[in-house]
Amino acid sequence: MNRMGFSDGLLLYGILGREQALSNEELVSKVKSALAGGCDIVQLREKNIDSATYYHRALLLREVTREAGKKLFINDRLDIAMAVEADGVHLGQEDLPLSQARKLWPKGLIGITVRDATMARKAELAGADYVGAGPVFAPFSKQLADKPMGYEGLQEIRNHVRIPVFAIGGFDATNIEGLKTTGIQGVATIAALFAQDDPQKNAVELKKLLS
Amino acid sequence: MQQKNFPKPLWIVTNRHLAGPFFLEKIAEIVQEKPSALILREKDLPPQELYELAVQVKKITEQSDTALIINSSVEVALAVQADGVHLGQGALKPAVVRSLLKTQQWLGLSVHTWEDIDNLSEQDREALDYLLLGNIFLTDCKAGKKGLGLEELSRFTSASPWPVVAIGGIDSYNGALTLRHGAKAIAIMSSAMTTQMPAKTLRDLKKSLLSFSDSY
Repeated sequence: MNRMGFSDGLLLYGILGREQALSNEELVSKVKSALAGGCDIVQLREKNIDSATYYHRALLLREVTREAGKKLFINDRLDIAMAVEADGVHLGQEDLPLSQARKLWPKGLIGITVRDATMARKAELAGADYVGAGPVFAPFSKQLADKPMGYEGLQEIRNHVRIPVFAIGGFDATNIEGLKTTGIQGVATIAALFAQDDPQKNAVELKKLLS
Repeated sequence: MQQKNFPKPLWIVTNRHLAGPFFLEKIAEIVQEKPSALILREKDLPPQELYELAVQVKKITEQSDTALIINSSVEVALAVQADGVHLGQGALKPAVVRSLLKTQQWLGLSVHTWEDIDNLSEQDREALDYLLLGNIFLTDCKAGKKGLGLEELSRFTSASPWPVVAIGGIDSYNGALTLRHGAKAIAIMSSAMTTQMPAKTLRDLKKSLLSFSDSY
C-alpha cells in the first residue's frame, strides 16, 4: 500500500481527451465503457482547450468516476483538478512546479511524467505520489519527442523510487505482458484503450494480459 | 461587495512582447510610480514560466502598494499568493474561481458589452469584485475596433453593481474624463509597455487624474 491506496497487482490507467472523444457524450460513454471493462484510473488530458470547457469536461468525468468508485486525475491544471475535486493532478515539465502544487493541495495526489531515474527520484523527493515513466515504447498516440526507454529504462526507474511507477507509451496487447515482471504499479495508455471503438472490450483484454 | 479597499485610480496591464527585452526592469520602473494594481497578462507562457515570472514580479509589486493580479491562471495566482485573479472570455467561471480563492483576493472579469454580464449566472455575479471594460477609446491593440465611448461608459457604470475599470486608449488627456464618467479606475497597457520613459508616462498620467480626485 502507498498514498495512492493501491495494493499489489498491475493497474490499468486510461488517458483521454478530445482527440479520443470529441463530444461530451462520447467522453462520458467511452469512460463508462472503459471503467466497465476494468480500467482502474482515468486521466482527462486536454491540450489547447479553453479553461471553461476543460472544467466542464472534468466535472462530467468526476461524476462518472465517483459513481464507479475510481480515481480521476486531471492533466496539467491544478486549479481545475482542485475545483472539480478530482483525486489528483498529473503535471508535466512545463506545468506549475511540483513543490508549489504540493503546498497548495496537500490532500490531492500528484503524478509527474519522468524520462529517467534521476527525474523520478527528484519527483519522489519533491512529494510526487506516483511517476508516469515513458515513453517505454514508441507511442501510437503522439509524435515521438523522446527516445523510448524500453523495459531496461523502466526497470531502472522502478529501482530508484518507492512511489508507484506507471509505464506509459506504446503499449498494446503485443507487448504489455512483459510488464508483469518489472514490479511497477501499472500501465497508462491512451491508444490501447481509446483508439478503437470498444473501450470496454479493450480494457478487459488488457487487464487479462496484465493479471 | 467586499470590505477591502478597491485599488484605484491607475491600473497597469502587462505585455512583455510590447515591453521589449528588459521586461522586469520596465515593470520595476513602472511600479516605482505606485500604480494601484498590475495585471500580469502573459497569455502565451506555460504555467511553469508564468509562475517563475510572477514570483519575480511579485518581488517588485510588494515593494509598493501595487496589487498584483494574475490574468487567467488561477493556479499561478494561488502559488504566488497574488492579490487577485483576472478572467477573460473562455476562462474558468467566476464562481468556480471564487471557491479556490481567499476572500481578500480580487476577482475580476473582462467585459465588452452588457450582454457579457447578462450571460453570467447568479453565483458568478456574486463571485465578482470588479469589471474591466474596454475598449473605451480607439487603441492600437484593438486596431479597427471602435471605442465604446464615454456615454456608453456612463451608462455601464451607472448600471453596474461592481466597480468598473476602464481600458483602451486611455491617456493623460482623457483619463480624468474617464473617471468622471463613472470608472473607478483606468487601466493602460500599450502606453505603459512601449514607453521609453515609464516614470514620466506614469507621472503625467497620475497628475492628470488628480484633477478628478476631489470628488472621488
